[in-house]
Amino acid sequence: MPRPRLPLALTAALLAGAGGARAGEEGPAPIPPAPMSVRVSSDTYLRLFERSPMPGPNGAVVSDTFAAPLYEYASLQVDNVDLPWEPASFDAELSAWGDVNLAPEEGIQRVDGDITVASIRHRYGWAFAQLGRQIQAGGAARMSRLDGLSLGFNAPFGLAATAYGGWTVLPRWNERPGYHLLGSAADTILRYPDALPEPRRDGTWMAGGRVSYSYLPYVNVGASFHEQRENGDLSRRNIGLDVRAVPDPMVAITLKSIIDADEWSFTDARLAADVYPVKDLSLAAELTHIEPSLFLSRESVLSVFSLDMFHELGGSVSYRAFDIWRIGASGYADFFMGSELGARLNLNSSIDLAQWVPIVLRGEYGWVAEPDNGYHSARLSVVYKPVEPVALTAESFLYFYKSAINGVPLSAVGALSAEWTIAPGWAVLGSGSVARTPYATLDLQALARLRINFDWEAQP
Amino acid sequence: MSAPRQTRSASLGAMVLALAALVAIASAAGCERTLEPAFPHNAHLETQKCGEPGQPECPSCRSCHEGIFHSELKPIDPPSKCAACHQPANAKIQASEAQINWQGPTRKIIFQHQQHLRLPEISDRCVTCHSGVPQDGEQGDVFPSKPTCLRCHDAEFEQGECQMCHIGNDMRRRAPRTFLRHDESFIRDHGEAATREGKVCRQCHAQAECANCHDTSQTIPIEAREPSAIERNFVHRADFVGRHSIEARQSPARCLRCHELATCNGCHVDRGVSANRVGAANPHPVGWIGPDYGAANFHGRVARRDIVSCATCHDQGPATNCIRCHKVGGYGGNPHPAGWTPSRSKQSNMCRYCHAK
Repeated sequence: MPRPRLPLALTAALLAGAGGARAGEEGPAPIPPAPMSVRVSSDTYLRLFERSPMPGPNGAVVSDTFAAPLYEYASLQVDNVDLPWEPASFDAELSAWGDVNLAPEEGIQRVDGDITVASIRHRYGWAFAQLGRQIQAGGAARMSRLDGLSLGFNAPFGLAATAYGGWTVLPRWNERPGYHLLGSAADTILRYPDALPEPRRDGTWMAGGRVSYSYLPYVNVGASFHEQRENGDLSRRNIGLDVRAVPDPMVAITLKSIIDADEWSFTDARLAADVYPVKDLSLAAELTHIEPSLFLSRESVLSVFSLDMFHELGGSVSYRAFDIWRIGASGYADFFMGSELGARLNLNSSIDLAQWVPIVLRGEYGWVAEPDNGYHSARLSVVYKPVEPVALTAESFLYFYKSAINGVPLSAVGALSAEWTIAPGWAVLGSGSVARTPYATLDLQALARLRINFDWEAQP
Repeated sequence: MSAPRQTRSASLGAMVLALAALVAIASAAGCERTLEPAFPHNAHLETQKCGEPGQPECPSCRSCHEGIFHSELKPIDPPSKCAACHQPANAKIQASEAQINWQGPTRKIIFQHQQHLRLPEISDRCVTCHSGVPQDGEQGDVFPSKPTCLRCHDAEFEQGECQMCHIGNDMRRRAPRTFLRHDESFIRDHGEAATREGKVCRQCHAQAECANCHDTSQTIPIEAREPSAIERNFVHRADFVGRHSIEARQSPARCLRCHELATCNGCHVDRGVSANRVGAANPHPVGWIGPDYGAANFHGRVARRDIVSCATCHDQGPATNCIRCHKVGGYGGNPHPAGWTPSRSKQSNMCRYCHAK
């Protein structure tokens, strides 16, 4: 594999600086290079569906559906490979998935799949370069996947920077998001086929970067930029600012915001305080500002219809008592401009009875309200491990809607699973669920999973 | 105030009270901090009378832990040293000794005490890192937490050089408890954490794990892949399709953090509730179009608050039915909100839908 070219003069200077600093260091014994490691994983799933849908729109008659898709998820990760000029400096990751529907329906693709991540990474001193399908997260990038190149450095004195650019990852390289929901039926049921155009691969790209400074463990400040184009036109142009301060091990203050650099307005901004007053107790308070229209593509005609924003205020608490009992609560209230209030609440608790019997119990209550509807929910779960390699779970969910959806006032779901670790790195799982929902009078699902994990690490 | 509003206010009040009660209970419970059975350091180092005539010699860390200054292999010398002060036949002492783990903690951390004790910042002072020992953990850390290590090792952390202290494969099976702890707050900020500490994350996680939750083009959701992971707070667990419209309206734009509008529209077309579906059902209530502009059901009010929900079915570029009325010269009036100033030329692709000459 040829060494990735780092054409920027700045990068070259940083590389030289990194090498010089390393050669000239004195003091404690040098850190040994990280050992090479290889991780391989494979998840194979077989699912069976039997679904009896509710009548369709306008009372249209629908028929029961049956599906039997088989999925494979596989990944390979190799880290810290020695290169002749730098030990433990090369990483590679490849992961992909595929599925085949063993009982195909008309309009549903029979075979599908995609590459999730495929990248190589080289580190040299402080600097790094990554090439291929990769993920950029946080700040203005939010969560973005690209086929391209990223370059950066992490200097020991806390300064770090990353720049990236490449084609936006589209499903199966050049399909529009969600295309698989329509399949070949799209040609016959769309009123405006032009409204769902095929993406123009060459005009769908992104670029951005981030600069940050950290003085660990006390403060980290970052500024980021992200621009994304769809079909050659501007989709979004964002500037991100984030600060995390930890003035005391018991307190953390976080401020993060994203500014739309096209409208010059805050897309969203969040201020949060986390407090850990005593062991195993955490408290959090948050205030969030969101302007929904700025989440739309700048090419969406509806993005110029509203500037309304809303604010969310809330907090959470969680506590673990006596090492066996966890309780948690969170509540958030939404204040829309000139409109009604929305809110959500969650109370949860779990108890691990492992000291007496190998059982974990979990219960949860939820409440969500919005101007038009809302629901109360209850969830009960239990895990039982009769013998060490076997785990059994049972779960039930109930959702009571304030206003019936599709004429149905509640959803009820029950699920069971059994997992058996056959040998280290090998496990099989079987699960099944039954549900009655606003969209299905009966929904039966079954799943079988074979999971294989292999970890290998070179001995130092 | 209407009855539903009173009910909602009462519910909100109950929620606040419940939260306050939980905080109070948790705080009170948290104050009753229990310690693992351990050697009573405080009784030996702080409260014992010593050093005066007729009293025993004052013990120090080295009195029992001399070995650790020379070798990691023998961190604790007792119980052989106990007999210097305690009568071996004392049953109470023997019972106490039996409860103490003389082998010390079995943490899988690579650590060289000798090297650290020689550093000028430490100078053989054990309490520099083990500040909580003299008070038996009531104040300070008995064992140093990650932030204590980072006072000196921040540079290595920045570089992701975890192998200095951690064994790779062992680390992957442990959730961090004192630094980068993976609690609910971490879920909120994990994107930024992944940016800051990318190489640290990589010690345990592959990028494909990010995609397992965030790549919405995968045809089997993470909730279905992990039916036994009841401890994880998946967003779309159980019957999410049934309640998705409520979740979307409760916090507009939250869905768009991961989903493209085309994904929403694809499903809505399939289910026959999108404006882009031939013969689609109209899901809107009576009075949606007008003529009463002040009605609660009037579409303009809802659109101002939650334009994202409108866009999930009505974002068809120049074919968008909203701009049949809301365009220059149209009878729907100017759709731009008060205070709106154009940030781009009217000749841009999107603006020309309405502003074309």
